[in-house]
Formats: sequence, structure tokens, C-alpha cells
Amino acid sequence: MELIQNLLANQLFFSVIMMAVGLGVIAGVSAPFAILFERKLSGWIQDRIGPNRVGPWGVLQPVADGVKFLMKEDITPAHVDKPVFIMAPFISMIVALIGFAVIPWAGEIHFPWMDEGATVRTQVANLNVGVLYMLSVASLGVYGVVLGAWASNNKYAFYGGIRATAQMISYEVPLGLGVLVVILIGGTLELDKIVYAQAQSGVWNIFLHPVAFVLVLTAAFAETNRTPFDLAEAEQELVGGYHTEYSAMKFAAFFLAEYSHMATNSALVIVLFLGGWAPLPFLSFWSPEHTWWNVGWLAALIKFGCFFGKIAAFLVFYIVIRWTVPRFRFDQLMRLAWKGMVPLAIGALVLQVLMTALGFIIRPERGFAGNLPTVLFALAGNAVLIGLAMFVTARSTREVTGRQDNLPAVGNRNANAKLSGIIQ
Amino acid sequence: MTLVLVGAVALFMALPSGGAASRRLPLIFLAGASGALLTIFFGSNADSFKGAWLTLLALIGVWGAVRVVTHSRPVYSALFFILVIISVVGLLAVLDAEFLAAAVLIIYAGAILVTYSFVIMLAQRSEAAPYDVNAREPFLGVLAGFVVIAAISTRVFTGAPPAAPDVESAQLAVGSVQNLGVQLLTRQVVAVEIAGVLLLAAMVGAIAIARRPAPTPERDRLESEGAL
Amino acid sequence: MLPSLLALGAALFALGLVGFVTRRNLIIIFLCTELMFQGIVVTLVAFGRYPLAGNTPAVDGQMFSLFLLVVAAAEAALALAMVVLLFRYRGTLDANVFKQLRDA
Repeated sequence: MELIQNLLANQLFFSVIMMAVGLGVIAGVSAPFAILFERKLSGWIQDRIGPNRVGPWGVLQPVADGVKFLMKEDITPAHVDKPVFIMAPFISMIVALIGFAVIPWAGEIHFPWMDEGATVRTQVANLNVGVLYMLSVASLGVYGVVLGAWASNNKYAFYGGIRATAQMISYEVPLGLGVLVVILIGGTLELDKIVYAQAQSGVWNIFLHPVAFVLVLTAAFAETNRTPFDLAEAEQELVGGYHTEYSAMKFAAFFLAEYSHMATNSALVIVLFLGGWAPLPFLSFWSPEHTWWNVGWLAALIKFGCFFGKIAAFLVFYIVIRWTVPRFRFDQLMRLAWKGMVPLAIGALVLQVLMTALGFIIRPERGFAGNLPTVLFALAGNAVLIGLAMFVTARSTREVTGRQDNLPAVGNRNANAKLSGIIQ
Repeated sequence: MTLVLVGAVALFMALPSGGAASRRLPLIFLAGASGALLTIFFGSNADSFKGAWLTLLALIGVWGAVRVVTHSRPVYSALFFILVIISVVGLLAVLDAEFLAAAVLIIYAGAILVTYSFVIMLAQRSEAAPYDVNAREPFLGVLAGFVVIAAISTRVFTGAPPAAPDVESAQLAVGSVQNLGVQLLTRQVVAVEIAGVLLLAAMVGAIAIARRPAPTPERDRLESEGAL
Repeated sequence: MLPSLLALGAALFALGLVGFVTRRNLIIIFLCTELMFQGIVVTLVAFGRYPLAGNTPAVDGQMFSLFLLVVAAAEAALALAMVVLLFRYRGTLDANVFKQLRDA
């Protein structure tokens, strides 16, 4: 017993526990939960019943799916580039999972048997550049898709890979700018400190920068390759997309990677904008004097539950969006990123810089009421930002949908007609 | 010194050339040479946790770099370069340069290398092209590289001035992002601005270059007739 | 610690140099310049972390490396655009083909 207590007081050992917990929560609970709810909710939205044969209410469906993937024949087509073909799904999987290393699940915990003031972190690793770590892991996510697409030696898969590359590189820019706004609010790159600042003041960052929140959320959607950003796996156009040639467990790895990615990105957005483990906004849940939320198993479990509940809500949101918003066309996708989100994100960044320069800085020790002027100023600034965006959109007379005949600069119509005549 | 020589000979043999019957032997040779070299280099530091990490990462990095140079398929070269990047990032993290490590990972692995592999995949068939199988002047190239590394390592290991006493990571201000940011925006602020302008110019230039229409024989003829 | 790191930087740089001189694929040539950049980054950061006697660790090496990253990004954008253009003109990436300006 004493040995266990000593071990639990050791950060290294606790990190290992958190690693197991994180992997279990993500790969073992979140992903199957998401897959089951994906099917159930999809059924509900489409007025179907959904899976209901395996176990009560179809609860064991994920298990049946897993068994099916394991029992299927694992086909490696003849013309693929074998090493890369085998590597790609697991790169996807690893990249989707290692982001969890820096997620602060429940802040710090103090156990009664530990020394006065000593705590352990419920985090695998507390990097002092945690936000940048998340960004760099997200930027590696493209490799699994691109390598799998290239190695398949299949033109449809390759089209999927090309689309995914352009999309993921483009949406990293607004994601990074939106994250920068949060970094400037707290003046720190540590995810743990960002969460504690929000928990102490009760001012979740979404109240300061709703525009940046929506931008980061959208970019996170795009990074997961889900509808409406699923051009890389558009079945109607590309047979299957980048995983056309994959079967059995390798396909399952891509599949699980997608759901793990959803959970990772939700966790990032929650930490940055929605207060991490803090149960409610507007209230102070932590301060250097009142640390009772850091003591004992019960508090830790409640905090963990709050975090996980938020992730679950996000997963449901992802699924609802899937059946609500239709897929973009590729030019719309690019226009949204470069002409819509990047300028807006720069606007939000400028707003935050202005707030810092004018002295509208969040002081966590004052609570929500004490920070009200800052919140109001930020909201007013965001309103101005949205107004400006709407004004610019209304002023631009250019057709925003439909065929873009004026895009390629290859001479006039007559020359083009002559060209096509010659080719024929 | 002998080891460097062995490594250079092996690199010469490993470079892609049409005549080489076996490519595997020189690679094993080279792995042994570079491994022994680096083990000696870092042997003095291997007693510490940090030294062990540095040795491991350096081995991975050098091995990746050798494969970048010697692999006859460009896509694999790019993949091994990603391996080099990851090991360099690890090195930077061990050297208390976390911010730089994250920046290198985001910029190199996340942006530059994706673009490289993208272009390689678009431009290249999957079988090796003749110009990838034959090296150009492998002897002179390896000689140049050998001279560089021999000169530097001789100087570094024999005549180097003494180093300052080591500082514990915890007491170090080097890694802190705050320190870096303050230095960048006070002492180096002009350089930061110039870097911004450079990036803007590069972006404009890249767009200007890439927007040129592709030449086709029909188009060339029409152009010469003045039809376009 | 410092000599080993400098030797590693030199090794990366020399390998990049060898590749730059001997490879004929335009893209690999540019990849090798990036490899040389990596060697320089290692060297600069090592000097910053383990300075010579009489100095204290400083962030200057890291700052230089950051500017190096900027230059590398700019170089990659321009070089790849030019490589794509050259490929469209000649349909090959062989550096030996592009020698019209060479002194015979």
C-alpha cells in the first residue's frame, strides 16, 4: 500500500499511468464510442434505426466491427510500393495519438499522503512549448494520407492525396493564427497554464474571441478530413479516396486514426477556448489560495469527467455537422481558407494585440466580474470584425459560386478555340 | 581519421551508379563506419542520460542523411530527410532549444518537406529514372566532402579552445521562449522585419513563376505566328 | 559535448555537400542544400548551448537558426516553383540537360 502511494506521488510513474489512461480513453473508449454514435446518430438523422443486432441497442457493434476487420484478408495489391504502403496507416495512427501527450486532463492533483504542497500532473509530459507541440503534431498528420495515397499506385488514391496535401497545408495557417491569439491572451505556451488561467478567472477564451474560436474549430475540422472537408475521401468522385487500396487492419488503422484525430483536435479546442477541465464558466474553480479542486481522487475524477464530457459533446457535434453541411468544391475550399479565414484570423490577432497594448489584459485573480470590461471590449472588437467581414463580402460583386471561366490565364477565347481545333 | 576514410570510401561505393552490382555491402560498411565514428565521438559523454540521447539521435540523423544522398528513388530520399529532421528536432530539444525544435518541426516537416514530396510525386514515375541511378563525378564529390569533414573534425578534436563549464538545464535561460522573443524583438528587430519582407518577396516570386502557362508545341507555334 | 556536436554538424553538412555535387536530380540537389542547413542549425545551437570559455550560454545561435528557417522556406518556395517550370519545359529533372549557358 505504501509502495503504491509512493509510486503515485512520483511524476514519472504518474505520467506512465496517464499514458495508459490517455490511450485507453482515446483508442479504447472515445473512438469506439464515436463510431457507434456516428452510426446511431446517422440513423436517427436519416430516420433509420441504425445498428441494433449486436448486444442491447447495438452497443457491441464496435466490437463486432473490430473482429470483422481482424478476420478479413489483408490484401496488399501487386503494384504498390510495399514499405511505404505498410507504413502509412500506422504513421496516421501514431500522429493522431501522440498529440495526447500534452493534454492536461485534470490539472494537478495532490494526494493526502503526499508532502504539503506537492502535486502530480495528470499529463504525460508538461512541455513548456505544449501548444507548439500540438501544432507540429497536427502538421505531421498529412504524411499518413499523402504516403498512403502515393504508395497505392492508384490514380484515384493519388488525387485524394493531392487534395489532402493542399487542404491540410492551407488550413494550418488559420489554425496557427487562431492559436496565436490564445497564446497572446495568457502569455504562455503551456497548455496547463492556459487551462488554469481560464479556471481561475472563469473567463473562458471563447468569451473573448468567438471569431478565433470558430476559425480554430473550422480548421480543426479540416485537419481531420471529415465532412464538409472530406474531399480527400470523396467516394462519389474518387472511388474511395486515399485509402481505396487498403483493406482489413490497415484500413482500420486509417479509420481509427480519423476518430482519434477528432478526439485530439476536440481536446485542443477545449483546452484553448473552453476551459479544459473547468466545469462551468463565469465561476472561479481554482486560485493559489483555494486549491481544494486539486486534492484527492474525487476532485480529479470530476475534473476528468468534465473534460471528457466536453470531448463527447464535440464528437456529437462533429457527427451532426457531417449530416448538415454538404461537401465543398475544391475552389470553394481554397477560397474559404485563404480569402476568408486567414484575413479574419489576422483581424482577431490584431484585435488581441490592440487589447494588450491598450491595457485590456485578463487578470485571473479578479474573477469574471473584475474582468468584465476586458470581455466587453473584446466582444465589441469581435462584433466590429464580423461587421467588417460582412461589409467586405457584400461589397465584393464577384460571383462566389459556379464555374470560374476567368481563372486560367491562357490567352483569349479565339486562341483557345484554335488550340483545341489543332489538337483535335 | 581512418574511420572517416573508410566512411568516405563506402559513401563513394554507395552512391548510385549504373555499374555497381551490389548496393547493400557498401551500405553496411558505411553504417559500421559512421556508427563507430559517432560512438567514439560521443563515447566520452555516454555516461550521462543526455549524452546517450545525443548519441542515439546523432546516429539516426547521420544514417538518414547518408540514405538521403545515396538512395536512388527521390521519394525515399525525401522520407529519409524527414528522419533527419526528426532526429535534429530531438537534438534541439535535448539542447534546451524547445521553441526552435517545434519551429523546425512545423516549418520543415510540416511545410517544406510536404511540398518537396508533393513535387517529387507529381513529377516522377515510380521507377527510378536514369539520372537518379547515375551519380555525377562521385569521386570528386566524396573527396570534397571528406576534406571538409576531416578538416573540421581535426580542428574540433585537437586544437579546440577550452569550453565554458557546463550549466544545468534548469538554471539555463537559453531555452525560455520569453528570452528568445525579447531578444528577437529588441536586438534583432530589423532582421525580423527583413525576414518578413524576404518571405513576402519569395511568395510573390513563386506565384509569378508558377503562373506561367505550360509550353506545348502547338502553343509555341501559335506564339511564333503571333496568334496569341 | 561541444566537439561531438560540431562534428555531427560537420558530418551533416559534408553529406549534404556530397549529395549536392554528385546527384543529378534537381529536387534532390535542393534537398541536399536543406541537409546542409540542418548541419548549420546543429552547429549554431550547439555553440549557443555550450559556448567557449569565458562566455555564457546565449540564444543567439537559436535566433540565427530561426532566420535560417526563414531563408530555407523562401528558398524552397522559389526553387520548387522553378523546378516545376523547368520540368514543364523539358519533361525531365536531370540537371545535366540544363546547360545551354555553359561555356563549351
